[in-house]
Amino acid sequence: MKQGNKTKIFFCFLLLILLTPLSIFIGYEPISPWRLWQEIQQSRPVNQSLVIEIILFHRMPRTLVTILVGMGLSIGGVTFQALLRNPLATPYTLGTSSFASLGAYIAYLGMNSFLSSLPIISIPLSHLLAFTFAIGEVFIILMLIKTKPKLSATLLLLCGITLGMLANAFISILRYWASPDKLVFMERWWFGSTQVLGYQPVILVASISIPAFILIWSYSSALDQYTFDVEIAQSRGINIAKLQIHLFIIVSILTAVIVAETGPIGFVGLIVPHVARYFVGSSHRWVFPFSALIGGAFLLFCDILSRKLFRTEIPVGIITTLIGVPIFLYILFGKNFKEWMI
Amino acid sequence: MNPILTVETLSFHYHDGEPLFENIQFSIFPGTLTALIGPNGSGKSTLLRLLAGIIPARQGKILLNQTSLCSFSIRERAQRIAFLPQNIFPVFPLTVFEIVAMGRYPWKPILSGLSQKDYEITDKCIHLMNLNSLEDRPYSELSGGECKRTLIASILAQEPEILLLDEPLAGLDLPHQIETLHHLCKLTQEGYTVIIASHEINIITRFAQKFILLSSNHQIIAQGDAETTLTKDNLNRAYNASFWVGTHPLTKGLLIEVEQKETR
Repeated sequence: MKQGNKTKIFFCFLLLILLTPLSIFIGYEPISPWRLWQEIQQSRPVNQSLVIEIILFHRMPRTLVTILVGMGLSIGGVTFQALLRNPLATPYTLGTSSFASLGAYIAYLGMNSFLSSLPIISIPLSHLLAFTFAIGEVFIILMLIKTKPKLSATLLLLCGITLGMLANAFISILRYWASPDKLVFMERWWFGSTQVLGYQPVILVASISIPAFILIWSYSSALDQYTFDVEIAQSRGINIAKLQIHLFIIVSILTAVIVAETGPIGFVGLIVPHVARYFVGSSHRWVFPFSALIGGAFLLFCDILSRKLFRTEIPVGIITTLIGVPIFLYILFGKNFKEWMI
Repeated sequence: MNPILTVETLSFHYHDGEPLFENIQFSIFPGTLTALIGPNGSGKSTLLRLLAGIIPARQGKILLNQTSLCSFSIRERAQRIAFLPQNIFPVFPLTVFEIVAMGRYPWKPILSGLSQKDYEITDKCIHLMNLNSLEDRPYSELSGGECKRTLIASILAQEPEILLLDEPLAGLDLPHQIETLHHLCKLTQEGYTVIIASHEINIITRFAQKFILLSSNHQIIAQGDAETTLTKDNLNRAYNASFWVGTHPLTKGLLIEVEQKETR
C-alpha cells in the first residue's frame, strides 16, 4: 500500500513535469523549441527578442502561477472537506471564494481612486481585502456550526451557497457601476484567469502558498483523527478548537491570495481531492501531496486548453467548470457517495 | 494496592445549569473490569467523557494514579486513558490497518510517520483482535462486529492504562458480545483497567468485578461486586421498575429480569 502510493505520487509528478514545457511552448503565439533555440543562439539582449520575452515574462510566470494555484485550490479543498467533515465542502462551494472575490473586486475598482492612497506595505490591497472578507465569511460559517452543532452536511452547504450568492449579488452591483474600461480587465479576472505578467504575482503566490502547504500538511494525522471521529480525536490529545481555528485561518489566507490573483476558479478544489482519494486512499499524509500534484497538473492542462480550444483565448475558470461539472455529477451519482449524504 | 482512578466529590452540570452529577465518588483499581450500569439518560456516557477528559469537570477531582487529571497535558492524558464512543461516523473510508495505526497518535512526534515500533504494536493489536485477514478492507465495508473489533484494536494500539468504552456491546449478536467481553477480560489480566458502560446486565455480571449503579436522577445507588450492588431493591430504585433477581440455572451467576407491568 505504502510503496504503491510512492509510485503513484512519482507518476503524478512526472505528469506535471511533462505538461510544463507544453505550457511554455503552446499559446496564442506558438513557439517551437527550435525557434527558441535559434533565438538563444543569436544571443541578443532579452528585451530585443520577442520570443524570449514572451517565454520569460509571460509563459513561465503564467505556468508557475497556474501550478501553484492548482495546488492551492486542491489543498484548500481537502482541508475544508476534512474540517467540515463534509466531502462537498470547499472554499468555493461554501462561499469563501465569493467573499474573497468581493473583497478583491472592491479593491480593484477602487484603485487609482481613494483606496489606493492607503499605504499598505508590500501587501496589495486586493489581497488584504480578499482575506478580510474571506475570514469574515468563515467566521459566519463557524458561528452557524456553533449555534447548531447538529447542522447536517446538506444544510451547511446550502448556507454556504446562499452566502456565496449574497457576495455575488454585491459583485453584480459593483459590475453594474464600474466604468467600461475597468470592466474589461475585471471581467477577465472574474471568470478566473491565470494570465499574469512578470514575476511579482509568482513571488506573491509562492511566498504565501508554499508555507501554507507545509503547515497544512503538518496537520495530516490530526485531520485523519478528526475526520474519523471528533471525540476519539479529543481523547487522543487533539485540541479541536485550536485545530479548526488554525486551519480555517490558513485556508482563508490561501484562498484570498489565490482569488485576488486569479479570480474565483471553481471545481478544482471539489474534484481533485476525490480523485486523489480514489488513488491513494483516505490518509491525509498521502491525500495532501497527491492532491497538490494532480491539482497543479489539472489546472495547467485546463490552462493549455483555454489558450487553444477556441480561436481566442478564454479564461481558464470556464474550462475547469466545463470539465468539472460532468466529473462532479459522476462522483455525486457514483456508488461511493450514498454513505456521505446520510 | 492504590486505586488507578479516583473520583472525589465530582459535580457536573451542562451549560443550561441543570445539575447532572452531585458529589459523586468512587475508585477503580488497576487490572479490573468495571461496569457502569443504569437506565437511559442516567449519565453513563457523560461520566465516561468526564473520565476521558473530553468534557472538563466543574467541581471535584478526578485523580489518575493519585495525581489530578488536570495536571496532565492532553497528550500525556491520551497516553494513559483511551476512550471509545458508542457510535462513530467516519467521513472517509480508512482501512482497518490505518485505523488501528491511528491509535499510535499520542506517542508519535508531530510530522513523523509510523516508526518500526508503531508498526510492531499495530500488527500485535490487529493480531490480538483477529483482524489479520481484514487489514486492507475499508471501514465502511465491515460488519458491526468487525467494526467493534477494529475500534478496540485501535484504542489498544494507543497503549493506555485505562480503557473507557461506551456501550461496546450495543449492536452485537450474543456470541460477539461474549467474545468482546472475553477479549476485555483478557486485557485486564494483562494489567489494563477497563471501564464499560452497558445495558447488557446479564452478560456483564459474568465478567465484571465491579459495578457502579447509576439511577435515573444521576446518583450512584450502589457500587461493589455483583451480589451486593445489583440487588432487587437497588435496581428498583435505579430504574423505577420492579425487578426479579435470581440465579442463572446454567452459569450460576445473577439472572436479572423485569416484571412485566400490566399496561391495561
